[in-house]
Amino acid sequence: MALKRMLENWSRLRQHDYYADEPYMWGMSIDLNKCTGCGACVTACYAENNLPVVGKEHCGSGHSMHWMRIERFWTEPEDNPDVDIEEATDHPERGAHYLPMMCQQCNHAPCEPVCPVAATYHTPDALNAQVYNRCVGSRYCGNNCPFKVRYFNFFDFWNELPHPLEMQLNPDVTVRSKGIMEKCTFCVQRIRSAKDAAEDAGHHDHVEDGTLLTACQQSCPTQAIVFGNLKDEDSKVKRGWESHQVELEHFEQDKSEDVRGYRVFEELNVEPCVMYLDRVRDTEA
Amino acid sequence: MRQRINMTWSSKLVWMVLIAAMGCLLPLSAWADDVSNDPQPIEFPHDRHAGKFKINCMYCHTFARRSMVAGIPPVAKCIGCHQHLPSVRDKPRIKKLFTYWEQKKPIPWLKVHDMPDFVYFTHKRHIQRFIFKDGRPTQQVCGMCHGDVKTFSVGQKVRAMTMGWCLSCHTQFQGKSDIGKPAPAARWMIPTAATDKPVMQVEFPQPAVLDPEHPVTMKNSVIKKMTEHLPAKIKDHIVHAPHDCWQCHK
Amino acid sequence: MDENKSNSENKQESANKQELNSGWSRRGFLKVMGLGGAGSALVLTGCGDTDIINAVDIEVRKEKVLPNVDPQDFVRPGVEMYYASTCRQCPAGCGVHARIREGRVLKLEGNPASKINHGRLCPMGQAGLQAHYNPDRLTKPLLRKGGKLVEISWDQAEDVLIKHLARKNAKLAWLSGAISGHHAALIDAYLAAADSKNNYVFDTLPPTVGHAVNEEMFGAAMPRLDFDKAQLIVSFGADFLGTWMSPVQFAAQYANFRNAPRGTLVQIEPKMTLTGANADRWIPARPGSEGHLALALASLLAQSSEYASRIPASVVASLKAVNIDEIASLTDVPAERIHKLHHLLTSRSPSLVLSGPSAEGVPHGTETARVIQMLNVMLGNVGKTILPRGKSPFPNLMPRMGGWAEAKSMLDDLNSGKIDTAVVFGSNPLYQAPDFMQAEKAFAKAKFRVSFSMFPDETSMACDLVLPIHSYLEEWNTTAPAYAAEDGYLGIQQPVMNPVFGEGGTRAFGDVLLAVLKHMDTNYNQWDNYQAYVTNALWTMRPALVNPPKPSVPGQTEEEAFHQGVMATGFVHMQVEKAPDIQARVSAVSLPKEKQNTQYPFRLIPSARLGLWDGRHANLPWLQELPDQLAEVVWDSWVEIHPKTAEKLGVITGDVVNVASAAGKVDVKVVVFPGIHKDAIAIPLGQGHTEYGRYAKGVGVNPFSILTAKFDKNSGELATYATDVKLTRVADRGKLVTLKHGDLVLESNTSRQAGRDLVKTTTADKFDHSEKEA
Repeated sequence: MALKRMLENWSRLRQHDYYADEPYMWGMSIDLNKCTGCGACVTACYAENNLPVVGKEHCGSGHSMHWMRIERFWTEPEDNPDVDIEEATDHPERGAHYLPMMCQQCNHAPCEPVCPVAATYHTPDALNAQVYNRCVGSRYCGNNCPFKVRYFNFFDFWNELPHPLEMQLNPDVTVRSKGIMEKCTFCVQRIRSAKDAAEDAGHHDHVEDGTLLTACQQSCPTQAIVFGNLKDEDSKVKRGWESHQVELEHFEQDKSEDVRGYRVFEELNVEPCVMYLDRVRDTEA
Repeated sequence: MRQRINMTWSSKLVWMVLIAAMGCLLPLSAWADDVSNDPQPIEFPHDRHAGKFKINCMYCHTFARRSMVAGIPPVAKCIGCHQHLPSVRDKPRIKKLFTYWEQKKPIPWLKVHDMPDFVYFTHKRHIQRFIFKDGRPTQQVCGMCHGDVKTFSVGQKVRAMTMGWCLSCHTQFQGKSDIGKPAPAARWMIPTAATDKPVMQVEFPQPAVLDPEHPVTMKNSVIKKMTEHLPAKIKDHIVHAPHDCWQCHK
Repeated sequence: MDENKSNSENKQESANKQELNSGWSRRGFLKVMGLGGAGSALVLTGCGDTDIINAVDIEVRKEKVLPNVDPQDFVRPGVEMYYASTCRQCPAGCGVHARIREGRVLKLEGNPASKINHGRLCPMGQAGLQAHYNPDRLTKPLLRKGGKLVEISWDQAEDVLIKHLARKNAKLAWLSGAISGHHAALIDAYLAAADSKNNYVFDTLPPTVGHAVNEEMFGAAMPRLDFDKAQLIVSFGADFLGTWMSPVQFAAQYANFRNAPRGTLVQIEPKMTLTGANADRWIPARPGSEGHLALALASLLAQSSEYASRIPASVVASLKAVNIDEIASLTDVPAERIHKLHHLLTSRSPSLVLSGPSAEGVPHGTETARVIQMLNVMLGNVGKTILPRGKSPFPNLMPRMGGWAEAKSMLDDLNSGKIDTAVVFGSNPLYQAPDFMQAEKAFAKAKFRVSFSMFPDETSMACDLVLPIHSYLEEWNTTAPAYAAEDGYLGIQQPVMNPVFGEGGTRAFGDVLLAVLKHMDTNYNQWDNYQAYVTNALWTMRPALVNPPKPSVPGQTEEEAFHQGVMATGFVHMQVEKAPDIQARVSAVSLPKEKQNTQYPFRLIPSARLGLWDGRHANLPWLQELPDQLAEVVWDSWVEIHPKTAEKLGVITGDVVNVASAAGKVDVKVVVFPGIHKDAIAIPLGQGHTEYGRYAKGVGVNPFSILTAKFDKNSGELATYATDVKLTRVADRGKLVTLKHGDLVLESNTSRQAGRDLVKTTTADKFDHSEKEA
């Protein structure tokens, strides 16, 4: 039943113009040529979004609440089709593979149709919303997420927060309690206040590109993360998507070989709003 | 200190069972706030200030038009006027006020209107819209949510301030004065169950976006089509219900 | 909750299915909808009446809301404000914008105008908030009475402080961490007034040996490096993306370096650092042999007259004796790789060769750094990617990085009785110094010990008087960065909020020291407090500043405009004379050939990480929970062992091994880690605190503690990368390594992409080609 419904929804969503008359579609691009895996984005996200520190025991049980995490992969020779770049040696001589991973704000989000209470749904500006006060903690969404970027509050992590650490909490973001699923929101509180500021300045439905930064993007020392409105033809992120020939509504991109853009798990047809750019290594070195 | 979402499911389950079992016995009360009877440090008479002297609400609550919060005036603001009002200088409340001022201590007011942590409400947008754009009288606009403050001898909460209560206005006002501008909120209003089937046949109808099988937001044209079968009165309401939860929740 | 409401209603409704199927009542429908007042006329004050149950706990008159007494233009309820200040989480001195709401600082962001960090911050900078709001901060002065530290009032503390410090005392010693700006100037002034010459600076991570060599060869401790212009960077262990001097600034430059045409990075080091993880070629050299590798490259370069002509003929002659094959076996880098590297160096110009702590932290560290810098001279990088530094008009504000040599000389002086009063500020030698230095014993010899500290760290807890000081977000100050992008940069600090612990809790270090100074030198009475001292100093510096702020609003005085302008910008630039071109001085170098230590077969790498740094951030939970960028471990210490070595030793990830050097031993859990040379093992720095609050105390081990007494002969610095150790397996890991409390916790259990193409890789050729087209 759920699958049937999901497919029906998707077919509707995939109509070319479904979001056409909306002014915003938030998207991101992450350049793995620049990302150094330093973790500034991770800590910035903790600071901005009231993420709890769960401690060693809970980390070990997989309860960590890092909305933004950095995956680190080593190359194993048998995995790698491109032997030119990664040769089989005793050491990873081409360095590590870093992948910042957070909610990909899929337009065909697998987490949405399975929520029994519609606590997660799609907003008109193409965000995958998580409404904490709706959530009943079924964790279906987390199980259905191919990226494993949804995090569940198994405990009330904030209960024993010693004074004065609670003074740091961001009043714009809900402090989540036990039994609630949470995930990256693309800093929706920043999006909202940017829209609010645009409204004050008399720009209805137009947030100037560059005035709105997510916490991770703001902090990134190499500016590997670009965030913006994919509906804005002049935005940096839109130009990035275009020049790297990544298009929405595709699960297989028809692009020239040299171009670096790709979306993780694109083949699942989940329509992520995050584009990654290939990591680069110099074969002459 | 910030308030947390109070989501103990076990206790909620108990309530659900209770309500289900005793459904007919339990009267439906208007709303159930968690009210303390602690007295305010000073029983501030809104009736004198806003009623008798007709002081504009925003004279004291200066931030209402520029911030999420309306703001409690600094003690200096009270003193600014009252030092020129010797006639009431000896009244106990004013004496108390001056004690705070002389000790340079803030007045520990008790918060009357408190939204849960997961609710985003901004005074600014409401004030900008109704007072500055629509040109309605200030007291009327503030009164929409705060009641007839000019009659209050001490601040009190007279509106439910529940989600349903918010929606009761938003179905009427949403988008209507934004003439000539596209109004996203209006376009994203949907019927109870956004389904291809007629609404009336849904087995377990759910509010607003609650239909689990329809996680995606609806377009206006789709909504129109879906609500065709409904009686006009109901249709009006559901067409105008705000749809995007993240406008007010976060 | 709303869903509670709807669910309970649903139950009611489903109990009466008849009603549901026959078109349910309007009333029920609206209740479920959460709507009320249906059809009521548009009466403004009347809308909103509802008859639904509300299960939301809306509190009325339960929470206090405190207005300001006086209106403050910097407190706007519900509106965020940004204040410019300077980060002091490490000596890099990045500019920050602190986001303030209702008088609380909520978030730190980079100051976009700052040339140091261009608006970005590293994890440590972000976590500055948790140092500021740390629950383990000291809030009351402590005085040792009967062997125990007891809380006293500030008045009592000041009396004790005046008694011991406000007098001439040649036997007084001052120890600070890396320091700069007006704190440094004030300490100088105090020591001059106290007639003491014992001013020590000790910090563990600044590359002291490298600075000395730079000074000797290029005439500047820290010449400006142009990563941006370089086409090739060859780094001998300089972790410039992680812990080397100014990581955010270098990362920003690195991002430009990686733009098309893309620069190439080669990293040579025994243990992979964050920079190594991003290298195009990471070359694991046998620990301590980096100098030989550089020497081999120099000898290959010297074969061409183009490169040989840049260094004296005598040095060229000395390079003739170098045998590449011998060096290949010595360094464990194949001769073919050395030749390829030589080819790369000759084909990409300009390049930049860096020398970092793993190359310099050996007994022949100075020589190693000299050879490495000689490569720069031979390649003609000096003047292209290595640029001169102008001399600051205010040398006393310039950063002082200090090093192990100063720590050692202080401990020696303590032991020999030359010191009777010790003052510690921003340094923690009792945690950092290796066991063989016996810092605790030496420290106990001082008659009176004072610590200015935010936290109950190891050194403070051994002091007689502990003064709780403000965090860097609560005080006025100036900070000169360890590595300035432009000469003459001086970061300004201003309080971004009121002190967290109120007026009676912590005090600004500057205020306390100034109060002492006033008892010794009446000149200092002209300043009410340290704020006045700093702002006045800046005002007097004004003629020497580049573009000091001028009045822009009518009615503003020059001074007001200046101060407001400086505070809003967050930094000033001092006028610096244009530096003359670097005249590099190169001399011949001979390197010893180390023999394998058979008793202790492995070399210990005490690796620093961006996060816990040298251990000063172990009390910040965000950083404890930030997985190590390479090993992915949280909240723990571990030893990294190469898979082949682990196989030989019969250990797997999670097992406990005993790591023993001639000077001590620690038990630590194993992480089998491919990015390390087979002869090396690495234990990260940062843990192993015996004090320092709830988040740090008792977590992991400190690799510094087991270092052996080897020193760099030229600089006298401790050779931190020169300790030989042996490993003995102690215990098996727990049954479930990642799931059991007390065992090692790895945040990511998978290291393989398993063919999923999550991170795709392309070649630099294709990259340059496609970027050109775009």
